Amino acid sequence: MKMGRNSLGEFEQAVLLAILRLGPNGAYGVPIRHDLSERLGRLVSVGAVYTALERLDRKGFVSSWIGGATDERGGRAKRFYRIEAPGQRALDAARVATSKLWAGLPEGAPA
Amino acid sequence: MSEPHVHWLGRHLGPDLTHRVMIIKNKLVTVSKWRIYPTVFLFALHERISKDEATSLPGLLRIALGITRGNVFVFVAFGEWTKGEAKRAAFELASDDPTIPFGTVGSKSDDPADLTMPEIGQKLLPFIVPKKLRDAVTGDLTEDFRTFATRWGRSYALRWLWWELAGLCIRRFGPTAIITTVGVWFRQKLGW
Repeated sequence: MKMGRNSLGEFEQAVLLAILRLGPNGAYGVPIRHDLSERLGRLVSVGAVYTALERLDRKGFVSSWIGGATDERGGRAKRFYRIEAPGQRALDAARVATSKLWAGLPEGAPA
Repeated sequence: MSEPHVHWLGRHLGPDLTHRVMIIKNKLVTVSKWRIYPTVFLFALHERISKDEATSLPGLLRIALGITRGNVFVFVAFGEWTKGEAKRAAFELASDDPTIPFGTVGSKSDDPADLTMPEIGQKLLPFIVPKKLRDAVTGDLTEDFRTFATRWGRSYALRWLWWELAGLCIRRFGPTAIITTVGVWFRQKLGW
């Protein structure tokens, strides 16, 4: 089954939530990746994060802007991300869908 | 404490989670799998201890592994003694600081040259990262390289960097293109 243009994949959802958690002034590649690695319990690669961010950008779920450069980044600028209204709506919809799917099942249901 | 001979070191060699160390009956045993397994399965993965032997150890069935923020293994541990034993074993074997990954003690460096991403990595990036993201990705890799080199040494940071670059290559060109290129190169090299 193909996912609709406005639906969210699991990883995309995780990236959006990481951006939400970090806030607009903290959400750039490195902290997003670290947040995901920590919460998902596995090492998340730079490529995976930027691929998801690009996809979300194309869907209009996030927007980005260039921040300042720092010495520790070899003089390279940070690209910050923030969630836009369609992204927020998609997250809400994903949450509702997940709740519906879990409805009626006890917590910790056997696999 | 009913199982004094089984210690979980709760350690690995870095955040790529490729290496686990445990001690079973005073033998240092390494296990390369990193996923979360029930203990018995983890034991069964290793040939030095049989499943029967593992299951005969009381109290271990409910132990699983997980990972903490500092990349230190935990033993999600349904029993305080397990955690305590793991910490004690790690302390005895390697370091005086349980937050430093096992096997990397002494490899840290403060030399600024060691903390800089190698030039070849920076030269490769324009070929494998789209122009729009080039600055951001290069900056992220530089920042993380510095962090890893400081915490776990340059050799670890280099391994991580090459792994990331390989991942970026595959995402950019696709596995088929890369396998084909490598195949053609080998074919020319070997004269097939």
